[in-house]
Amino acid sequence: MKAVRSVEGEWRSSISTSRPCRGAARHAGHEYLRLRPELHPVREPGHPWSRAGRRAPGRHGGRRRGHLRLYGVSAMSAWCVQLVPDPRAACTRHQRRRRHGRAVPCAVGPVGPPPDGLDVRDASIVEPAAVSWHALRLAGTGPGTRVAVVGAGALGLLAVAGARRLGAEAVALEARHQYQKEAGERLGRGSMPTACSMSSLRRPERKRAWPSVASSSLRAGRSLSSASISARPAGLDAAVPQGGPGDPVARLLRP
Amino acid sequence: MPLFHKEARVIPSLGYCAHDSGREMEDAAAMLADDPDIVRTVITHRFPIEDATEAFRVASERAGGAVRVVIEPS
Repeated sequence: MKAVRSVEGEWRSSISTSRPCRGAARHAGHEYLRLRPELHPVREPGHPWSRAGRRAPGRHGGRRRGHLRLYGVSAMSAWCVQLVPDPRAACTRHQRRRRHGRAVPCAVGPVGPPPDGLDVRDASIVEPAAVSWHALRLAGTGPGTRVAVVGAGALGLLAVAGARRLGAEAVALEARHQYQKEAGERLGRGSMPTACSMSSLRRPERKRAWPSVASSSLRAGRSLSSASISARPAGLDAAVPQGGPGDPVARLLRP
Repeated sequence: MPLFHKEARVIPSLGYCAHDSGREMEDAAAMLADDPDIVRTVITHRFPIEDATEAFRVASERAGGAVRVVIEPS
Protein backbone atom coordinates (compact mmCIF):
# COMPACT_ATOMS: atom_id res chain seq x y z
CA MET A 1 0.00 0.00 0.00
CA LYS A 2 2.20 2.75 -1.24
CA ALA A 3 -0.11 5.14 -2.98
CA VAL A 4 -2.98 6.96 -1.41
CA ARG A 5 -5.42 9.37 -2.86
CA SER A 6 -7.70 11.98 -1.52
CA VAL A 7 -10.83 13.21 -3.14
CA GLU A 8 -12.62 16.36 -2.15
CA GLY A 9 -15.90 17.52 -3.58
CA GLU A 10 -18.34 15.66 -5.71
CA TRP A 11 -16.98 12.45 -6.95
CA ARG A 12 -16.99 12.16 -10.70
CA SER A 13 -13.46 11.36 -11.68
CA SER A 14 -12.13 8.09 -12.89
CA ILE A 15 -8.47 7.45 -12.28
CA SER A 16 -6.81 5.40 -14.93
CA THR A 17 -3.56 3.74 -14.02
CA SER A 18 -1.15 1.55 -15.85
CA ARG A 19 -2.36 -1.36 -13.75
CA PRO A 20 -6.04 -0.83 -13.18
CA CYS A 21 -7.88 -3.10 -10.82
CA ARG A 22 -9.81 -5.70 -12.68
CA GLY A 23 -13.50 -5.32 -12.22
CA ALA A 24 -13.29 -1.89 -10.65
CA ALA A 25 -15.55 0.38 -12.62
CA ARG A 26 -14.16 3.55 -11.12
CA HIS A 27 -11.38 4.33 -8.75
CA ALA A 28 -11.81 7.06 -6.25
CA GLY A 29 -9.81 8.00 -3.23
CA HIS A 30 -8.46 5.53 -0.77
CA GLU A 31 -8.56 6.40 2.88
CA TYR A 32 -10.36 9.65 3.07
CA LEU A 33 -13.10 10.70 0.74
CA ARG A 34 -15.41 13.64 0.80
CA LEU A 35 -18.13 12.98 -1.65
CA ARG A 36 -20.51 15.75 -0.76
CA PRO A 37 -20.08 18.78 1.45
CA GLU A 38 -22.38 17.38 4.10
CA LEU A 39 -20.95 13.89 4.01
CA HIS A 40 -17.49 12.92 5.14
CA PRO A 41 -17.18 9.20 4.79
CA VAL A 42 -13.89 7.61 5.51
CA ARG A 43 -12.77 4.17 4.63
CA GLU A 44 -12.27 3.28 8.21
CA PRO A 45 -12.30 -0.46 8.79
CA GLY A 46 -9.16 -2.28 7.85
CA HIS A 47 -10.72 -5.68 7.90
CA PRO A 48 -13.27 -7.26 5.59
CA TRP A 49 -15.91 -7.83 8.22
CA SER A 50 -15.45 -4.92 10.52
CA ARG A 51 -17.88 -2.10 11.06
CA ALA A 52 -16.68 1.43 10.84
CA GLY A 53 -14.95 2.18 14.08
CA ARG A 54 -17.21 -0.05 16.09
CA ARG A 55 -15.28 -3.20 16.61
CA ALA A 56 -13.37 -4.05 19.75
CA PRO A 57 -9.81 -5.34 19.45
CA GLY A 58 -9.84 -8.88 18.22
CA ARG A 59 -13.46 -8.80 17.14
CA HIS A 60 -13.98 -8.47 13.46
CA GLY A 61 -17.63 -9.40 13.16
CA GLY A 62 -20.35 -7.04 12.11
CA ARG A 63 -22.65 -6.08 9.33
CA ARG A 64 -21.94 -3.56 6.68
CA ARG A 65 -23.91 -0.39 6.93
CA GLY A 66 -24.55 2.63 4.84
CA HIS A 67 -25.67 3.16 1.34
CA LEU A 68 -22.20 3.23 -0.09
CA ARG A 69 -19.59 0.55 -0.12
CA LEU A 70 -15.95 0.83 -0.81
CA TYR A 71 -13.78 -1.99 -1.87
CA GLY A 72 -10.09 -1.77 -1.27
CA VAL A 73 -8.49 -3.85 -3.95
CA SER A 74 -4.88 -4.82 -3.78
CA ALA A 75 -3.37 -4.14 -7.16
CA MET A 76 0.31 -4.90 -7.27
CA SER A 77 2.04 -2.36 -5.10
CA ALA A 78 -0.84 0.05 -4.85
CA TRP A 79 -4.36 0.07 -3.53
CA CYS A 80 -7.39 1.22 -5.35
CA VAL A 81 -10.92 1.71 -4.15
CA GLN A 82 -14.04 0.74 -5.94
CA LEU A 83 -17.15 2.70 -5.18
CA VAL A 84 -20.37 0.71 -5.43
CA PRO A 85 -23.39 2.96 -4.95
CA ASP A 86 -25.87 0.15 -5.17
CA PRO A 87 -25.36 -2.58 -2.57
CA ARG A 88 -27.18 -5.00 -4.81
CA ALA A 89 -24.40 -4.60 -7.32
CA ALA A 90 -21.93 -5.93 -4.84
CA CYS A 91 -20.76 -9.41 -5.52
CA THR A 92 -20.27 -12.10 -2.94
CA ARG A 93 -17.05 -12.48 -1.07
CA HIS A 94 -16.24 -15.56 -3.07
CA GLN A 95 -16.83 -13.69 -6.30
CA ARG A 96 -14.69 -10.81 -5.13
CA ARG A 97 -11.85 -13.13 -4.37
CA ARG A 98 -12.23 -14.71 -7.76
CA ARG A 99 -12.35 -11.39 -9.55
CA HIS A 100 -9.91 -9.32 -7.59
CA GLY A 101 -7.68 -11.75 -5.81
CA ARG A 102 -7.15 -10.31 -2.35
CA ALA A 103 -10.12 -8.02 -2.43
CA VAL A 104 -11.06 -6.40 0.83
CA PRO A 105 -14.63 -5.19 1.15
CA CYS A 106 -15.18 -2.34 3.54
CA ALA A 107 -18.10 -0.45 4.92
CA VAL A 108 -18.10 3.29 5.25
CA GLY A 109 -19.76 5.40 7.84
CA PRO A 110 -20.04 9.15 8.03
CA VAL A 111 -17.57 10.69 10.39
CA GLY A 112 -16.79 14.26 11.18
CA PRO A 113 -14.63 16.44 9.02
CA PRO A 114 -10.89 16.45 9.65
CA PRO A 115 -9.90 18.34 12.78
CA ASP A 116 -8.71 21.90 12.50
CA GLY A 117 -5.18 22.01 11.24
CA LEU A 118 -5.51 18.96 9.02
CA ASP A 119 -6.33 19.59 5.40
CA VAL A 120 -8.55 17.02 3.74
CA ARG A 121 -5.84 16.57 1.12
CA ASP A 122 -3.50 15.44 3.87
CA ALA A 123 -6.07 13.31 5.63
CA SER A 124 -5.28 10.32 3.49
CA ILE A 125 -2.61 9.32 5.98
CA VAL A 126 -5.02 9.29 8.89
CA GLU A 127 -5.85 5.68 8.15
CA PRO A 128 -2.27 4.32 8.17
CA ALA A 129 -1.56 6.50 11.20
CA ALA A 130 -4.47 4.80 12.96
CA VAL A 131 -3.03 1.40 12.03
CA SER A 132 0.28 2.29 13.67
CA TRP A 133 -1.51 3.88 16.60
CA HIS A 134 -3.50 0.69 17.16
CA ALA A 135 -0.34 -1.44 17.28
CA LEU A 136 1.35 0.95 19.68
CA ARG A 137 -1.67 1.05 21.93
CA LEU A 138 -2.07 -2.74 22.00
CA ALA A 139 1.59 -3.03 22.95
CA GLY A 140 1.13 -0.69 25.87
CA THR A 141 3.20 2.20 24.61
CA GLY A 142 3.28 5.08 27.03
CA PRO A 143 5.49 7.07 29.35
CA GLY A 144 8.48 5.03 30.45
CA THR A 145 8.42 2.62 27.54
CA ARG A 146 11.18 2.34 24.99
CA VAL A 147 10.06 1.55 21.49
CA ALA A 148 11.88 -0.10 18.61
CA VAL A 149 10.29 0.24 15.20
CA VAL A 150 11.45 -2.15 12.51
CA GLY A 151 10.81 -0.94 9.00
CA ALA A 152 10.53 2.67 7.94
CA GLY A 153 7.74 2.76 5.43
CA ALA A 154 4.70 4.89 6.12
CA LEU A 155 3.52 2.62 8.94
CA GLY A 156 6.93 2.56 10.56
CA LEU A 157 7.42 6.32 10.34
CA LEU A 158 3.95 6.95 11.67
CA ALA A 159 4.70 4.51 14.48
CA VAL A 160 7.70 6.66 15.39
CA ALA A 161 5.50 9.74 15.48
CA GLY A 162 2.82 7.88 17.41
CA ALA A 163 5.25 6.55 19.99
CA ARG A 164 6.52 10.05 20.63
CA ARG A 165 2.96 11.31 20.90
CA LEU A 166 2.13 8.57 23.41
CA GLY A 167 5.04 9.65 25.56
CA ALA A 168 7.55 6.87 24.92
CA GLU A 169 10.82 7.47 26.68
CA ALA A 170 12.92 6.55 23.64
CA VAL A 171 12.26 5.47 20.09
CA ALA A 172 14.65 3.65 17.79
CA LEU A 173 14.04 2.97 14.13
CA GLU A 174 15.57 0.44 11.80
CA ALA A 175 15.43 1.79 8.26
CA ARG A 176 16.72 0.47 5.00
CA HIS A 177 17.26 3.71 3.10
CA GLN A 178 18.99 6.91 4.07
CA TYR A 179 15.96 9.08 3.34
CA GLN A 180 13.93 6.89 5.66
CA LYS A 181 16.47 7.36 8.43
CA GLU A 182 16.36 11.10 7.97
CA ALA A 183 12.57 11.06 8.05
CA GLY A 184 12.63 8.99 11.22
CA GLU A 185 15.00 11.41 12.88
CA ARG A 186 12.68 14.30 12.03
CA LEU A 187 9.64 12.52 13.41
CA GLY A 188 11.36 11.18 16.50
CA ARG A 189 13.26 14.30 17.35
CA GLY A 190 14.50 14.29 20.88
CA SER A 191 13.63 10.68 21.44
CA MET A 192 15.88 8.63 19.20
CA PRO A 193 19.08 7.97 21.12
CA THR A 194 20.30 5.29 18.77
CA ALA A 195 19.96 7.33 15.61
CA CYS A 196 18.02 4.75 13.64
CA SER A 197 20.33 1.87 14.42
CA MET A 198 19.31 -1.24 16.32
CA SER A 199 22.83 -2.60 16.59
CA SER A 200 23.59 -0.91 19.87
CA LEU A 201 20.32 -2.13 21.28
CA ARG A 202 21.43 -5.71 20.83
CA ARG A 203 24.60 -5.50 22.91
CA PRO A 204 24.17 -7.31 26.22
CA GLU A 205 26.12 -4.64 28.08
CA ARG A 206 23.51 -2.10 27.04
CA LYS A 207 20.51 -3.78 28.51
CA ARG A 208 19.16 -0.41 29.49
CA ALA A 209 18.69 0.32 25.83
CA TRP A 210 16.56 -2.71 25.15
CA PRO A 211 13.11 -1.55 24.23
CA SER A 212 10.07 -2.74 26.04
CA VAL A 213 7.95 -2.39 22.94
CA ALA A 214 8.88 -3.38 19.43
CA SER A 215 6.69 -2.50 16.50
CA SER A 216 7.41 -4.31 13.31
CA SER A 217 5.93 -2.74 10.25
CA LEU A 218 7.79 -4.55 7.53
CA ARG A 219 6.02 -7.37 5.79
CA ALA A 220 8.83 -9.85 6.00
CA GLY A 221 9.76 -12.60 8.38
CA ARG A 222 13.06 -11.01 9.22
CA SER A 223 11.38 -7.93 10.59
CA LEU A 224 9.71 -9.85 13.37
CA SER A 225 12.95 -11.65 14.04
CA SER A 226 14.78 -8.35 14.20
CA ALA A 227 12.15 -6.91 16.52
CA SER A 228 12.41 -9.86 18.85
CA ILE A 229 16.21 -9.76 18.88
CA SER A 230 16.23 -6.12 19.81
CA ALA A 231 13.64 -6.43 22.51
CA ARG A 232 14.23 -7.01 26.16
CA PRO A 233 13.83 -10.55 27.44
CA ALA A 234 10.69 -11.80 29.09
CA GLY A 235 8.06 -9.24 28.55
CA LEU A 236 8.46 -8.06 25.01
CA ASP A 237 5.37 -6.77 23.38
CA ALA A 238 6.06 -7.09 19.70
CA ALA A 239 3.14 -5.51 17.95
CA VAL A 240 2.90 -6.39 14.31
CA PRO A 241 0.48 -4.14 12.49
CA GLN A 242 -1.51 -5.10 9.43
CA GLY A 243 -1.88 -8.75 8.64
CA GLY A 244 -1.76 -10.47 5.30
CA PRO A 245 -0.31 -13.51 3.60
CA GLY A 246 3.15 -12.00 3.62
CA ASP A 247 3.19 -10.75 7.16
CA PRO A 248 5.66 -12.02 9.74
CA VAL A 249 3.12 -13.77 11.92
CA ALA A 250 1.61 -15.65 9.01
CA ARG A 251 5.06 -16.81 8.00
CA LEU A 252 5.85 -17.81 11.54
CA LEU A 253 2.71 -19.89 11.92
CA ARG A 254 2.76 -21.42 8.47
CA PRO A 255 3.29 -25.20 8.72
CA MET B 1 14.14 -18.76 18.23
CA PRO B 2 14.80 -15.36 19.82
CA LEU B 3 11.11 -15.24 20.56
CA PHE B 4 11.34 -18.41 22.62
CA HIS B 5 14.62 -17.57 24.29
CA LYS B 6 13.22 -14.30 25.56
CA GLU B 7 9.76 -15.66 26.22
CA ALA B 8 8.52 -12.78 24.20
CA ARG B 9 4.89 -12.03 23.59
CA VAL B 10 3.78 -11.31 20.07
CA ILE B 11 0.62 -9.27 19.67
CA PRO B 12 -0.79 -9.30 16.17
CA SER B 13 -2.38 -5.98 15.34
CA LEU B 14 -4.95 -5.48 12.64
CA GLY B 15 -6.44 -2.20 11.61
CA TYR B 16 -7.83 0.03 14.34
CA CYS B 17 -10.85 0.38 16.54
CA ALA B 18 -12.65 2.39 19.14
CA HIS B 19 -11.61 2.40 22.77
CA ASP B 20 -12.99 3.64 26.05
CA SER B 21 -12.10 7.27 25.50
CA GLY B 22 -12.63 7.58 21.79
CA ARG B 23 -11.55 6.16 18.49
CA GLU B 24 -8.07 5.52 17.25
CA MET B 25 -8.91 7.17 13.94
CA GLU B 26 -9.66 10.37 15.82
CA ASP B 27 -6.50 10.00 17.89
CA ALA B 28 -4.45 9.66 14.75
CA ALA B 29 -6.17 12.62 13.09
CA ALA B 30 -5.53 14.76 16.15
CA MET B 31 -1.88 13.79 16.12
CA LEU B 32 -1.53 14.80 12.48
CA ALA B 33 -3.41 18.04 13.04
CA ASP B 34 -1.23 19.03 15.99
CA ASP B 35 2.05 18.33 14.24
CA PRO B 36 2.12 19.35 10.56
CA ASP B 37 5.69 18.06 10.31
CA ILE B 38 4.35 14.52 10.26
CA VAL B 39 2.33 15.17 7.13
CA ARG B 40 5.20 17.01 5.49
CA THR B 41 7.54 14.12 6.24
CA VAL B 42 5.33 11.21 5.30
CA ILE B 43 3.70 12.64 2.17
CA THR B 44 6.71 12.94 -0.08
CA HIS B 45 5.07 13.44 -3.46
CA ARG B 46 1.91 15.00 -4.82
CA PHE B 47 0.56 14.69 -8.32
CA PRO B 48 -2.47 16.05 -10.14
CA ILE B 49 -4.97 13.45 -11.19
CA GLU B 50 -3.86 13.73 -14.79
CA ASP B 51 -0.46 12.33 -13.78
CA ALA B 52 -1.86 9.35 -11.90
CA THR B 53 0.19 6.89 -13.91
CA GLU B 54 3.39 8.70 -13.03
CA ALA B 55 2.27 8.84 -9.42
CA PHE B 56 1.95 5.09 -9.28
CA ARG B 57 5.34 4.68 -10.91
CA VAL B 58 6.95 6.92 -8.32
CA ALA B 59 5.08 5.18 -5.50
CA SER B 60 6.37 1.80 -6.59
CA GLU B 61 10.01 2.88 -6.39
CA ARG B 62 10.69 3.07 -2.71
CA ALA B 63 14.41 3.51 -3.25
CA GLY B 64 13.57 6.74 -5.02
CA GLY B 65 12.43 8.40 -1.84
CA ALA B 66 8.69 7.88 -1.97
CA VAL B 67 6.92 7.21 1.30
CA ARG B 68 3.37 8.31 0.54
CA VAL B 69 2.21 9.61 -2.80
CA VAL B 70 -0.97 11.63 -2.99
CA ILE B 71 -3.02 12.24 -6.09
CA GLU B 72 -5.03 15.43 -5.92
CA PRO B 73 -8.00 15.93 -8.21
CA SER B 74 -7.96 19.13 -10.14
